[in-house]
Amino acid sequence: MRLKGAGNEVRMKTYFMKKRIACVLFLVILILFSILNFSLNYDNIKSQVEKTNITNTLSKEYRGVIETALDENILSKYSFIEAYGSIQLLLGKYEVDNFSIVKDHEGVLYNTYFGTGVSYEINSIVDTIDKIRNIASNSGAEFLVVSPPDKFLNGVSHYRKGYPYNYTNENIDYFEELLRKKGIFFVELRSVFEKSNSKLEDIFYMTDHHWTTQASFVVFQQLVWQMEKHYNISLDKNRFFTDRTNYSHLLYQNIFLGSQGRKTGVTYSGLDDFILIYPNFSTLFTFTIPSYDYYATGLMEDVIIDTSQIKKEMTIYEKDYYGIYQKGVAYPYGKISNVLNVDGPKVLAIRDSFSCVPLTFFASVCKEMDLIYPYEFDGNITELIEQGEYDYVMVFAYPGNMTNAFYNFRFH
Amino acid sequence: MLFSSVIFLFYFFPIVLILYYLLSFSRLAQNMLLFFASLFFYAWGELRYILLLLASILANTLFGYLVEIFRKKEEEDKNSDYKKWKQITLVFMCLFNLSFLFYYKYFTFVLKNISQFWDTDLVIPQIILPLGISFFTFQAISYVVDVARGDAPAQKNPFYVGLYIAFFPQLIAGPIVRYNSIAEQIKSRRSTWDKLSVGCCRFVIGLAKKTLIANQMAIVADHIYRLNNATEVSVALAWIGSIAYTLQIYFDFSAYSDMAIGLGLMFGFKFEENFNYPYISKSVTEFWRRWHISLTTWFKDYVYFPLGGSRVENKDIMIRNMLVVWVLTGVWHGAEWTFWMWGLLNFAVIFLERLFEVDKKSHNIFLRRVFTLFLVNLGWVLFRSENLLLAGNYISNMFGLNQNQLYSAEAGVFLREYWIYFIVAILFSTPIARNMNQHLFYHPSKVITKLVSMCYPFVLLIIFFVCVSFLVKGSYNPFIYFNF
Repeated sequence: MRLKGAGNEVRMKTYFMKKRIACVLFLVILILFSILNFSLNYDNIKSQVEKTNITNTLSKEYRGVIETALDENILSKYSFIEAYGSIQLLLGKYEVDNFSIVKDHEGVLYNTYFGTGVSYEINSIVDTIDKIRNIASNSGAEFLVVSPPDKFLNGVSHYRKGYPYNYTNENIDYFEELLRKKGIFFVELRSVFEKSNSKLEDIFYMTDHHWTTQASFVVFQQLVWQMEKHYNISLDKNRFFTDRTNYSHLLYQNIFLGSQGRKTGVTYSGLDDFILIYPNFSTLFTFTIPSYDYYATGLMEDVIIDTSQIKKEMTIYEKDYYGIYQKGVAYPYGKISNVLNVDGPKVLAIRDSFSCVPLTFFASVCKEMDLIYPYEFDGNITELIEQGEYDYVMVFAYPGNMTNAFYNFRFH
Repeated sequence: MLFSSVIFLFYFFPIVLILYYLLSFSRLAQNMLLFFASLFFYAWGELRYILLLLASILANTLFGYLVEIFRKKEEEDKNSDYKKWKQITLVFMCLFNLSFLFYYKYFTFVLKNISQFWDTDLVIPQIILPLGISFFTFQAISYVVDVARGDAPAQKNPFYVGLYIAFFPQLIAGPIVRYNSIAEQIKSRRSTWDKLSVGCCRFVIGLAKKTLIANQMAIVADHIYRLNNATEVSVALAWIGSIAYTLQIYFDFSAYSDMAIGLGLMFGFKFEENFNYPYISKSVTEFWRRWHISLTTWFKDYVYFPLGGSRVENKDIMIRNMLVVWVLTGVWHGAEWTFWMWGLLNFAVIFLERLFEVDKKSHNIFLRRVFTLFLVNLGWVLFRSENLLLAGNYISNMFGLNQNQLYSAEAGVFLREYWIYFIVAILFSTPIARNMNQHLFYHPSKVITKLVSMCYPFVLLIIFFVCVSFLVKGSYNPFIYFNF
């Protein structure tokens, strides 16, 4: 684009000058950012890479680990995510992240995808659950499944028409039908919430896929009452532990950015309120998580509910309020002993993240509760049940976890 | 490693660029740096196939060396056998290069079809296609043939041949750089401020096209094509998906070319343009003068003209030549019958356009553009589909032949969520930006030109920041060249 003539030469000069300025600014910012980014994140990147089990450093998988570490540890990462979220908001979009998150009419975020029908992987999951049930029965334990709903609650959800739907309700229907056919008792929760006249944002967090602590308390109540009815037992004779008035409810407003919100940014998702629920009555528990090197004895709100997290100096992106109950879910094995309830049942809970809050309250009606997380547990489930002498074995089965990869147990 | 990735933008690229300019005292050192950086770039994605790339470099260096000896000897003595030896070497070179391409890209396809056709239980091996094999194979062939023709001297230094074949900006997605256009530049290119600046800006624009347009269209296209394979889609949804893919492939491919050309300029290389607003074409013939120009030029120079081209007495031979080129063009893109059909479809249309001298006509330009786009769009459906059956199903849905609904809620959702990306993509697939640039360049008002010049750097930086936001967020970033 070289044109001769005095006027054109001036124009050419201007043309290249603007490109030069842009180039200088771009390269200076890029290089400075790259240097700062690496120097400030080096330790995080290194520790993330060192955590991997992959030993072959020449393998594609190892390079993938490095690339993931570099992708995840980027300077001002959340500023970029906020910028992305702001653009989505400006464009008036109700979906983000390749339709994996959709916002409904009330601003509640949903994890979803374009489902085409029921997942027949559920068949093999129910077979696995049935296997566990048989082991439990042979060991003298009662067996039950807890079936948490998804945000797509009929009559409660304000989901938008035409947006991707993951067939979660149909999957739950199919799952429960299979459980019924096999004579497996399950605690059905979907209808409880659908009939409750509650708003969706009181049942589920707007920015997280989990249920709220208030809804978790309802789950705890239902678990106790439905088990009592089904097994003809008494877990909470005087309706003391399941009485909401025996618990303190501390409201923290506009404080919680859930898992979905962390993907979209606060600008797009907003923040949730968080209600901390803990007992007003005396409690004494021992909580052990060997893989975290955690052994503690004391009140429920000190030992099982990690209230110290609330006061910690962390950004909203780093704090996971939901995870303060039972220290989250991502450990293979944990044990809760209720020192004050020696006559209570001994329970094995094969759990997912939805179980953390309800099972915290449920610990009050138990003597002991062993917690395993299928995704991390690599022990032998048969041995665990046979040697555990459990009164109850329960499985939490959230529809989003209904994959063989999640329920990948080792049996005898 | 993708250009549109954190590791490339904030690690690989700044390090290579800084080292390149620190080594300005030595062209050899700079070329060696670029060569080894290119090997690292390739190895990052495909360590096991680095040996294949090196083997190709060494072998083709040797072939180039031999054909040059034979060519020079032939020039000295026209009656000698050296012409025959040169031709044998060229044939052997083609067999060597194409055999690897055949094995990695087409062997499984051939076995599958033999197995189906003869109803046998052949063991079909799982062969992973080395990234960019179609591109670097064609570049290697170009090197040896250009040396044989005397269009460029053979490189004595195998590292320089390696640099030409494996240069990272165009290694995995083109443009296919012909050796005679680059030979001089390897040794005696000049890095100037203007090249660096223009290259830089071109790279950022390419990144924006990829991240902000192509990837968004990919979301629409991929979802709709997947839905089409699993369930009924409405006529409107099928059309939205096909148009989204038409826009995705243009912006993705041209973005990669922009980034490659931009990166090349930053290192002092000037590559030829690869796209020239193909969607404004008035005929499919014109479309192929504007789309993936480096590929059509390659086929023209190395297949069509050697077969005789159009300057043959017998028109049947010309038609045969065209058919060969278009079948090969289709096949080059992938090992599936859909690519054959796509190549044949292009051949058929171009043949008819020649027959009726469509390009010589000057009326009904708008209608011709619309019709050309319609044909191109249909061709892309064939191109995108996994097999002929799914392609047929998709096209049937586009015309309501499966008794599918005219409109659906999903169609409304995609339009609602992506309308702005569609508008931007359609606008920028026309030369509106180039025309605006020209208009502003020649604008009589100095105030306007000064204002635009002042805003330009900041607008570019904002665009870059937005691109990085999308990348850091981990938004959808597909790589569609794994077939090549």
